[in-house]
Amino acid sequence: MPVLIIILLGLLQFSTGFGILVLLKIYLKPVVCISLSVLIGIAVFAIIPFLLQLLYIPLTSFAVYASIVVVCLLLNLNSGKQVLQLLYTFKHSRFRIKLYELPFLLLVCFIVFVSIWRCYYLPPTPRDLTSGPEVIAEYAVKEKTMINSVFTVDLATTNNQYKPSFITCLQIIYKYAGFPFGQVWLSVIFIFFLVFLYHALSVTLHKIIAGILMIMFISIPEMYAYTFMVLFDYSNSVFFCLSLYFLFEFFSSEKTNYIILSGILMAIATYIRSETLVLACIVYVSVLFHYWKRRNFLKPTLRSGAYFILPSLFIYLLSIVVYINWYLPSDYTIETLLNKNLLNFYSFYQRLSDMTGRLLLAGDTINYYGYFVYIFLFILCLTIFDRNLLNKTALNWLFAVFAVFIGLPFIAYLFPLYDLDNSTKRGLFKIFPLMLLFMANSPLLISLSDSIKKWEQTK
Amino acid sequence: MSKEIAGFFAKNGNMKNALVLIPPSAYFKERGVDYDVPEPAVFYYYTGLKTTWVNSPVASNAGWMVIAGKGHYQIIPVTDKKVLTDSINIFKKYPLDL
Repeated sequence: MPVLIIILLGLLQFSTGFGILVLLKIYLKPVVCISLSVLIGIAVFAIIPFLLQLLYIPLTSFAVYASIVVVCLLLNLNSGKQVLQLLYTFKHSRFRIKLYELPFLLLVCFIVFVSIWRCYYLPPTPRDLTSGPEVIAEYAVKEKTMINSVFTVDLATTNNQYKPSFITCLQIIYKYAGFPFGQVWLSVIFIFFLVFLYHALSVTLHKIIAGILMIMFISIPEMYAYTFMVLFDYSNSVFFCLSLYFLFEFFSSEKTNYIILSGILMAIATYIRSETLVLACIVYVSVLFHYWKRRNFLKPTLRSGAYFILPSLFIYLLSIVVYINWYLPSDYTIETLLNKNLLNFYSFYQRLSDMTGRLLLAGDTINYYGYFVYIFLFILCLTIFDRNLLNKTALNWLFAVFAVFIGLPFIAYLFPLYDLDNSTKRGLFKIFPLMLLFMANSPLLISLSDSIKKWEQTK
Repeated sequence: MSKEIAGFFAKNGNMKNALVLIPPSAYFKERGVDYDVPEPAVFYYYTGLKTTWVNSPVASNAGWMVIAGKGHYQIIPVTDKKVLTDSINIFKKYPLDL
């Protein structure tokens, strides 16, 4: 029965996300389309109970699921033709796995299986979850509102009740579906993100290299742990990466619908962790670079900026400013968390130094992130010394890595509560998919892939 | 032990209205009780009972408190506000640990 419910929810999530892709007229290869649709569907699910709460509609199981179905139907009013097209493509496409892919795929499947098993049977209960989103979700199911008796408890020891509603909403939906501790959605995000990444790597790289890179990525110890421990950072890194992927697709195709999708995905990332808005503003610099040498610079820059930043700004205002200030029965002013001495940049340099020295290059690097950062640097150095000119996409991904690298210390400079050992350590999850996609576009690995492909053709 | 404390109030039928002051873990350890005190939100999640810590402004509203001695703990009602205030001041000497 639980498997059936997961499949049913997965189908609803797919349909919802697919509806958004069709509305935006974004047509992708079937596997990418399915994985992206499910991921977007989960994000839409995570907003629906929140919107119901904003309208003070009681969060009964009927209200939640009826809203989900209605949203799904509304988004798919024009999708009939595209669904048929997708089915037709599936019917006429041959699913082939080459023998050399098997070891990598089996290893990935094994690692994923362990994560799913932990997620389902032995879910960890981090304090940040049980003192915030989880306790609110638990009592929301009992009391039919997210503004519930939890806010009458002594909350002096925590600020987790003010974290965005992303996890709370998904936990409510999955608790109503019969999963007492929810969190099955985390495995869904994990699996479909891996599918998306593997495809993204395979576009430019030979499948052997793509497989090796996937194994290295999936084995980042700290990040792997968060595939079965519900907190905000893994999901945040997924949607942040997807947003940049479609932003860079926009740079190469100039199709407006790609940047609109990118903006929506960045808004989802901001909904999951509000400080992502700061990173979105830093990433926006790449939009400026993109239009820099154009004759008509200002208009497209502003228009793209509106598509990319405004959705994030809107969701930030809704989920943080409006919800916390006007709905929650407690005083919590973001201004009090801001650095009082913004002219003193010492804390920025200190965090940059600590993050690099203690988390990224030395200190606990191996414990937390394995050898992934070293492999990225190795590929980067080889590419530079080999005098291979970086293509534009690789440069974009390198800029994205840089944006997170300076963005996290900048967030810590703005909000001193953003500490090194927890927030920054987990915030760095955002950098790894970007490093991976940089490697996927590095001329060195692309030429190596081409050599393997040529050799294959001669055999 | 959290379940036992909650069970006490569930049995007496005043689970919903009780506010229980629980001293820091270090206090219990010093008195031979091995108990890592969950913070109030986590306590509420697992048991449905409202508790408070000594550093909270609502600590002085507690109607019950848990005390310990010689390896045992006891749940006692607060009958005198002065006793509660004195107890809070004593508990404050122990470090709080999440």
